[in-house]
Amino acid sequence: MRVVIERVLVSVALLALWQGLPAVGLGDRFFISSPVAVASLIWDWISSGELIANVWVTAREAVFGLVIGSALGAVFGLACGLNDAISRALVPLMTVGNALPRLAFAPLLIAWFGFGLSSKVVLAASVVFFFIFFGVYSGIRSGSGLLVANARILGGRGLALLWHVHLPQAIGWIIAGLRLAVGYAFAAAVIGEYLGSDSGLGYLIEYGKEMLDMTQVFAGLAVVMVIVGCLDVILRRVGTYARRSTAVP
Amino acid sequence: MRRSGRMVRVRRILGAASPWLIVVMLLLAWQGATDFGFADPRYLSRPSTVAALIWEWVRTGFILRHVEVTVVEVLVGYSAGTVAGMLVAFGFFFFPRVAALCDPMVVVLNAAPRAILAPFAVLLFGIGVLSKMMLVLLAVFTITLLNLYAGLKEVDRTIVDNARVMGAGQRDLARHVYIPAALVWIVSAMRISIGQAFTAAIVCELLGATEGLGWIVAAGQSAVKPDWIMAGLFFAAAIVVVVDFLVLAPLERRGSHWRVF
Repeated sequence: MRVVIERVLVSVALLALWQGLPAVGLGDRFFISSPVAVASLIWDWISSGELIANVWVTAREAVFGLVIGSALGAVFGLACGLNDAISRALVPLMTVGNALPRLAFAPLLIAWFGFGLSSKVVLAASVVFFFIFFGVYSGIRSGSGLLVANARILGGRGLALLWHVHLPQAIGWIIAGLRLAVGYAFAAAVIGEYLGSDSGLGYLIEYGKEMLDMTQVFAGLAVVMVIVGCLDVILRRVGTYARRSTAVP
Repeated sequence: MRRSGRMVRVRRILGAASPWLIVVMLLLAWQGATDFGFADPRYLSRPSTVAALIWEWVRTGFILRHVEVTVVEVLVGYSAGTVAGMLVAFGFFFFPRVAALCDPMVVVLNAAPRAILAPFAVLLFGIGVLSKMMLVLLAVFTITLLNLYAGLKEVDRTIVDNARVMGAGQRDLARHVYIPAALVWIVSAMRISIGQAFTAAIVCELLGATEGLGWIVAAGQSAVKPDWIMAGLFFAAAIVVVVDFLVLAPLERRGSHWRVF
């Protein structure tokens, strides 16, 4: 409890410093804006409905990307985890793909898929794919071979083997991958919007940058950070819960 | 017997070659689709055009300056970020009260890839190299801090207690226990952060720069020249892959031998 109070005090002190420094001649309002201006701009966005509309655009891109990327990642992860020939062909490619700076590929995707929804969905999916792929693949590969062999001897085949043996062993890895993927899907949507869009949170931030309006950049980033931060905290709780309730046999 | 031995060998070679086969097939499909009119080369470009452009950039030396700019931005930000992350991680570790106070800020910093802050960096530090260095610094700092702090907390209590019993003070502990233990975590953080460092630098260059690989890509985007975008991304990807697989991966593998604790 005491630490919570102290944290709040530190945050308030930092905000006060941010608000007060330009008044005593340190720092320029033009560059660092002020918390009051940022808060009132966010309030304007909320009351005019602009915030909800733009959050909706970005969230839709992130969710579509998350769903498509997770589905593809799970399919490829399963194929590589369960089949040696496929894993020998694909895993080296995936390792290289995972090392690439994928967010930098946004201009290419915008050139291919246009300014609208689909280019951001593809960008988000391409980021999510690798988290889920490696979550599923490593989850299956790091599982106990003894357990799988025993289940086979007892007649475990196909879906039953997957559901009762592989999945419980992989769930921790999958959840860890998913937790990272959510934040990154959202960020990928925002970065895609920086590079070509006409709505969304990334558009608001980029527009602020073009207008040299630091208040708008801060306000947009604050909204993104709060959303991603909340998602992270929620998913961490869910992850702990899921791991506890699906304990490995 | 001999026959099956040959079969095994053929299958092994096929297995090792299959990733390359897939890449070659994809490139051929792309070339074929654009050559025979299934796809529009104005948007998709084609492998032969991109390869020719890459070769021309290498031959004329045009690419050298831009590679140099991006690499210098990453190097400066990366080194500064690693050092800053190490210092703060040790600070957090030896002063847990400070760590508890700063925890919410670290969570916020860590929640999203730092490349998202690129417009902020460009506006605050301009379109020169400084904004890219700062963004890379922030990205690398966060990763190093979190990895190293988590690693330090995992140092075995028994070893620490034994060292204390043998009369080690705080300084001896840091020198003989914590710093050697930290090396492994620092190397692993360096490997994780190299990709993010390049991403941060290139995304920042996309949003406002006058040179660098990201600028090439952005120029290709605004002039609708997909071959420029792809050739620029090719160099970015090539540098990351070379650094990661030839420098940091062997370093990390070797690092696991140092892991005494």
